[in-house]
Amino acid sequence: MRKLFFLILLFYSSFLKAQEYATSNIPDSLLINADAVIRKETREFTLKSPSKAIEKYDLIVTILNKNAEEYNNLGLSYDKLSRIEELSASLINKEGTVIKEFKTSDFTDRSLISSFSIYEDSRAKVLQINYPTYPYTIKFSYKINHNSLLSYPSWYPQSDFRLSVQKSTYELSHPSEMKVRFKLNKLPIPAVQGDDKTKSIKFSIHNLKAYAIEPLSAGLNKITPWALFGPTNFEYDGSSGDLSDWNAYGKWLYNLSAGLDVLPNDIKIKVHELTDNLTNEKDKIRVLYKYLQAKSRYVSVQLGIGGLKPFEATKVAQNNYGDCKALSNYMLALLKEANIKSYLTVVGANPKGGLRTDFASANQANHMILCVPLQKDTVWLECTSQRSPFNYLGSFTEGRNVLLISPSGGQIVKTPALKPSDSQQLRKINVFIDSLGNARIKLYTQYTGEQFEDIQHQLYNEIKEQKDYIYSTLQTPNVRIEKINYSLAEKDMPKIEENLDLTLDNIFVNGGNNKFVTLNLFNKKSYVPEIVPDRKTDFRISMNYHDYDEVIYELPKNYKVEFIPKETQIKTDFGIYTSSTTMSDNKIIYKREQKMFKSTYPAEKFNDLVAFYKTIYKADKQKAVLVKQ
Amino acid sequence: MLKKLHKTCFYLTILSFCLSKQLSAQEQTLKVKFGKVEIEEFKQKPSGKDSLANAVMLFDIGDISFSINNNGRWVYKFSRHKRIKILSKDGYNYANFEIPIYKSSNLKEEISSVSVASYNIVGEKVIQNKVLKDEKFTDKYNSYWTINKYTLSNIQPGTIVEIKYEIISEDTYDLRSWYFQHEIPVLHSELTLAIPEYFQYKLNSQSLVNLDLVNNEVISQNHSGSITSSSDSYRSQSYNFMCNATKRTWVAKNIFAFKNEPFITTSDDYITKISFELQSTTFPNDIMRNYSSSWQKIVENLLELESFGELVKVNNSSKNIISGFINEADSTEIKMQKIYNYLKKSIKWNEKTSIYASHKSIKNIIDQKNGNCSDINLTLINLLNSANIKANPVLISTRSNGRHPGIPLISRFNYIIAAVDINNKRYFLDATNPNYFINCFYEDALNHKGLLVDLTSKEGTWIPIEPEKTSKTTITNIFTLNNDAQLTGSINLYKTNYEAFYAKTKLDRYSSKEDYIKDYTKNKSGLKVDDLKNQNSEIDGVFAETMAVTIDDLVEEAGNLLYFNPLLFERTKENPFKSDERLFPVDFATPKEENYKFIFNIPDGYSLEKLPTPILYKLEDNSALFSYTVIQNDKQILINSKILISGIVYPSERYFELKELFKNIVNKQSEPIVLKKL
Repeated sequence: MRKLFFLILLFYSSFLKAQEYATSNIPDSLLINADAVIRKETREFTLKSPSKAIEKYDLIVTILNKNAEEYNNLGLSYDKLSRIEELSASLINKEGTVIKEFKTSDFTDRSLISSFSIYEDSRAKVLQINYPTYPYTIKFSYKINHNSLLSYPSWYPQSDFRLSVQKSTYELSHPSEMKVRFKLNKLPIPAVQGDDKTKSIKFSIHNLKAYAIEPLSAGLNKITPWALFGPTNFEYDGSSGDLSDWNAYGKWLYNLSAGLDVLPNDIKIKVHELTDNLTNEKDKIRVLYKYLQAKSRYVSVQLGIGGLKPFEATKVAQNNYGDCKALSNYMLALLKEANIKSYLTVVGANPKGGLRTDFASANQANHMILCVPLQKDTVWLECTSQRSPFNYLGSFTEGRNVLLISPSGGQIVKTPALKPSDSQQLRKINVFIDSLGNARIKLYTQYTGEQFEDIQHQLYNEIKEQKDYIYSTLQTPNVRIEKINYSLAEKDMPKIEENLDLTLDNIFVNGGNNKFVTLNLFNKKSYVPEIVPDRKTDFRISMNYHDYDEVIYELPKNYKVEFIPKETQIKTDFGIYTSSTTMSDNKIIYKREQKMFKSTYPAEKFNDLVAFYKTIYKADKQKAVLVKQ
Repeated sequence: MLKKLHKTCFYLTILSFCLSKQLSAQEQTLKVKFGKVEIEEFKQKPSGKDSLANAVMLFDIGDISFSINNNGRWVYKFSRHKRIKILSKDGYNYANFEIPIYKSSNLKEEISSVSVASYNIVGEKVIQNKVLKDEKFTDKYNSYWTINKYTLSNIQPGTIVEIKYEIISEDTYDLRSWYFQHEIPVLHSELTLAIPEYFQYKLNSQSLVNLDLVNNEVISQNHSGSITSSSDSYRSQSYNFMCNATKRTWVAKNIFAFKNEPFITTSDDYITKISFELQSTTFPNDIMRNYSSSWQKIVENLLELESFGELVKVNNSSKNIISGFINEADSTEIKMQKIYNYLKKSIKWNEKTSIYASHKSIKNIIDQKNGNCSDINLTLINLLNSANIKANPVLISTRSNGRHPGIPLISRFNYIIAAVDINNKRYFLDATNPNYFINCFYEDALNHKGLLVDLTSKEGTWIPIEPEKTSKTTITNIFTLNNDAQLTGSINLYKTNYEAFYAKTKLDRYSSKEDYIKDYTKNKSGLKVDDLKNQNSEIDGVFAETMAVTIDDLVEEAGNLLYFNPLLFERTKENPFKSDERLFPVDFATPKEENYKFIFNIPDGYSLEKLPTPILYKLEDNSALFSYTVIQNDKQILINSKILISGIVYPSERYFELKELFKNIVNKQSEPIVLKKL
C-alpha cells in the first residue's frame, strides 16, 4: 500500500512537472507579435577567483512557428581555456511532455574558425533539433568551467524582436574580496547578498512582451532591460590585469605589446632610406604606410592570448603578414624608427560600433588601428588593407569612441567622422537621342568616402565582373555597356572616377500619342518604408552622404516637349532633397540633389521620414512628355 | 621476359595511331621539380579575357598510383604539384593552401609528404621562402574531416607560390576527381593515372577545352613489401609480385578561368574535369567483384542494404501504422492521399539529402519524427506498398549535386522521391515538406531524369521527371480611378503547381494576416490593402487570394494628362539575362506562365488618349512567347499581358533569343496608359 501510494505520488509530481512547459501555459499577452517565447532562462555565474569561474546555464524556449526555427540550433563554444562539464538538451512537445533527451555525445564537435581567420583555437559543440509540428519546446543546459577570464557573460534577456520572455534570471556570485562591476539598463540596482566569504547579486525579469520588427530600427537596447558585467582584477591565459576602467585596461594591453616593436637591422636601414630625405612628418608617415601596404598582407591567426597580443615586429618583417594587431604594431615600429610616435588603438569595428564611455569591457572591441598624433592634426592608419587610401578610416572605424593605448594607460578618443561632403556621388550624364529615339549615353561619376568604398572593387575587377556589377546596379533596363573606365582621381585620396559609354535602344516609352522619358535615369529612390503606428524603437540613418545628378538630354529635331515636371524641394532633419527640370534649345536639363544626415532619430519622428522618402520617391519617377512631329 | 616486352611494344604501336596529336607524350607533359623556379616563369601572364585575372596557375600536375600498405590493403597515392603566380592583391588568398583529409573507422587517409614555398625575384635572383612550422595549422573540423592549412610569407603581386603533396588514401572506391579548370586561368594541367590490372574504373570526363589523352600504355609494375599482422606485430609476411597497369596521361593547356552564370544547375556540370568510380575488382585467387557494373547489380545491392532495402520491406509494423487511418473501403487514390498526408504531418525533414536512410526501421523514423529524405520517402514507399499501392523509389541527383552521367554510378545520386502507379497513371510523391503535393516535389530535385528502382523486378530504369504541368500565375486586377488620382479596386491572385507551393511556403512564414499583408505591401509604395479575403491554400496545387486595395502615388500628372502603368507592381522591370555572353544552357527547371489581366473603368471626365499597341513575340519554335493585347469596350479597357515559357532547357546558342524576348517584355510592360482631362 505504501509502495503504491509512493508510486502514485511520484507519477503525479512528474506529471505536474511535465505539464509546466505545455504551450497552453504561455500567457496570451506573450503570444502577440512573437515567434518564440523564452519560458525560462537562468544563468549562474560563480566566480572562484580572478581566473576561475563556473557557469551554469538553462534555457527553455518554445518555438511557435517557422520563423523562430533558429532557436533549434544549439551551440556552445569553448577553447583551451575552458572546459565543458555538462551539456544536454531535450525536446518537449506542445503538451509539455519530454519526448526526447540529448546527451553530450549527441552534439557534434567542430572547429569554430571565423571566416577571416586561417586558424583559431575555439571549438563548438552543436546540435540541431527538428520536430514536424509547431509549437514545440527545447531545453538546453550546460555547465562550463572557465580557467581564464577577461569578460563575464552579459545578460540580454530579450535579445531580439518577435521574442517574448516569461522568466529570465541571472545570478553572479564571487568571493567577497573580489570586486565586480556592472552596468544596468531598465533594471533596479540589486541588493548584494551573502556573507563574509561570498557575495552575490541576482537579477530577474518576468513577462516581457514581444516587439514587432520595425523598419530602419536602431535596435531594442534602449528599451529592453539588460546588464553588462565585468571584472576589476582578472587573469587571462596566465597574465593578470586590472579592468576597472578603460585606462587600466589600456595599461594591460600596453604591457602586452611593449617591447614587441623591435625591427631587424635591414628594415631599420630601409626606414631611413625611405624617410631621411623627407622633412615633412606627414610625408614620412605616408611613405612608410605605402611601404607597409606594398609588402604585407592580412593573415589572421588567433591562439589564446594571441587574440589580444600582437606578433613581434621582427616576425612581421620576416613573413610580411599578420593580423590587425601585428600589422598595426609593425607600422608603429616603422614610425618609431623614423622618430615618429604613434599609438595602437583598439576599435569596435561594426556598423554600430564604438566603445561605451561608461563601462569598460574587453568584448566591445574587435579590431586595431594606429593613431599618429602630429602637431596640427592626427593621422589614422588602417593597417590591414593593402588598398585603403592614406589617412582614411572607412565606415567600420570612422566617427566612434576608440581606445588609445599608451604607457600611461588607455584613453578614449573619437575617430574623425565622415561628413556628407566626404561621401559623395557626383554624376554628370549626357544623353544624345537620335530621331528614332535611340540614345547614346555618356556617364561620368565621381565617388568619394563611403561611396568610394562601395565602388572601389571595380578598379580591380576583371571586365566580366565590371560589366556584371554595372548591369546589376543600373536602374534602366536594356542598357548596353560600350566602354568602361575607372581611375583613382587623386593619389592617396578616397576618390574614384567612373566613365561609362552606354547605348539604349529607344529611350522613350510610348503612351498614347506621346513619348515619355523618366528624367532620373540612374538614381531613383525605390524604397519607402511603411508608416508604423505606435512605433517603439528609434530609427537610424546609417550613413552620411551627398548625391548630385545632372542629366542633359539632347533631343532630335522632330520631337517637341509637351511637359516637364515642376521643381521639388524639401528640407528635413534627416536630409535635404531638390530636383528640377529646365529647357534650353533642344535640351532638357534635369538636376537632382540629395543629402542625408547620419544619426539615430526618435521613434515618434518616423512618419516624418516616411513622408520625406515618399516625396523623393514621387519626384524621382517623374517623366517629361514629348510628341513626335 | 621477351614476350612481355613484345607485348608492351605492341600496345605502344597501337597507341601511336590513337594519339591524334603529332607531339609525343614527352613533348606535351611537363617535367618540373619542386623548388626549381626559373626567372622566365615570373614573366608568364594570362591572355585574352583572362588578362586581368588575380592569379594564374602556371601548372597543376596530378598523379594517381596504387600500392599495398603495411596492413595488406590496397591504397592509392594521389600526388599533386601546382605552381601559381599571384598577379594582384586580390589574389593573395592563393598563398593559403588547404588540404582536407578524411578519416572514419574503416577508411583512412593521410598526408605522406608536403612541401610549400613562395618565390620572389630579388635583384636578378629567385629567392625561395619555405613555409615555417608556425605557418602550418591542423583544423580538426569534425570527427571525419581534418583540414591541413598552410600560409606563406612574403606575398606580393608577382610572387610565385608552390605546393607539392602526397596523400595516401584507402578509399579506392572513390578516387579524387581531377579538375583541369579553376576560378583562375590555368596554363598547363596534367593528370597521370596508373591503374593495376586488378581494378576497373569507370571514367567520366567533361570539358570546355581540349583535353588530350597524350599517353595510354600498359606498363609492368613491381609490388613488394611486407604486411604486419594487426593481431601480432612481430609476425609479418612479405610479398613480391609483378602486375600490369594501364597508365594514361591527359593534358589540357591554356584553360580559361571558369565563371558562373545564372539559371544553371551547378557549375560542376560544366567545369572541365575527369572523375572515376570503381566498377569491379579482379584480384588473383579471388572472384571478380562487381561494384557498380550494371543498374541491375546496383539495384540488387541497394535492396540488400539495411539503410535502403530493409526499410521498404512490408511487415506487420507498417501494416499496423496504416490501419489506424486507412479504411478498406477507400479508393486507391484516397488511400495514397491519406498515407501521404499522414507522413507529411508526422516527420520533419532534417534538410539532409541522401539515398541512404539514417534510421534502422520505419518504426524508429516515425518515433523520432525526423529524418533525411531517404528516411522519409522510403517510409512513404513502404506504407504505400503495405496498403497494396504500387510505389517505387526514384533516385535523383539534385541540381546542386549536378547532372548524373547516366552510366551505372550509384554514388552520384543524393535524393529519393516515390513513384506511384495506379491504373496506368504515375504520380511522384515527396513527403519531406508539408506543402508539397502530388507531382510537386523538392525543387532542387527537378533535374530532368531519375532512376526508377523497381522493387519487384529489381530493375533500374531511367525515367523523365520533368513537370508536365505549367506553373501558372494569373493576376486579375480590376480598378477605377478616384478624384484625387487614387486607384481603387481589387487584386485577384491565382497560382498553380510550383507557384502555388511557393505562395503557401511564403504564407507559412507569417504568424498573422497583418504580417503577411505588411510583407506583401513592402516595396510597393502607395499600396494599401483594405481587405484580404478568399484566401485559399487548402487545395493541393492551387493558391488563391483576393485583396481590396487602394493605390496612391502611382498615377502621375503631366499638364492635362494623367498616366500610370497598367501592370501596377507586376511589371518585369529587369531583363534577367544581362550578360553579353553565355557559355552554358539556360535551365528554368519547370515550365512557367504569367498571365496578367488589367480591367480598368475610365472615370467620367476623362478619355483615353490612344490605346497601347498590341504585340505578339514568339520564339521560332513556339517554346516561349510574350503577348500583350488591349481591348476597349466603351468606358472599360482590358489589357492582357502573357508570358509563357514552356521549354525547360535552352542551349546556350539560344541565349540571345531569350534575352531578346525579355527585352521586348521589359519594353512593352513599361508603357503607361494615358488619360486626358476632358
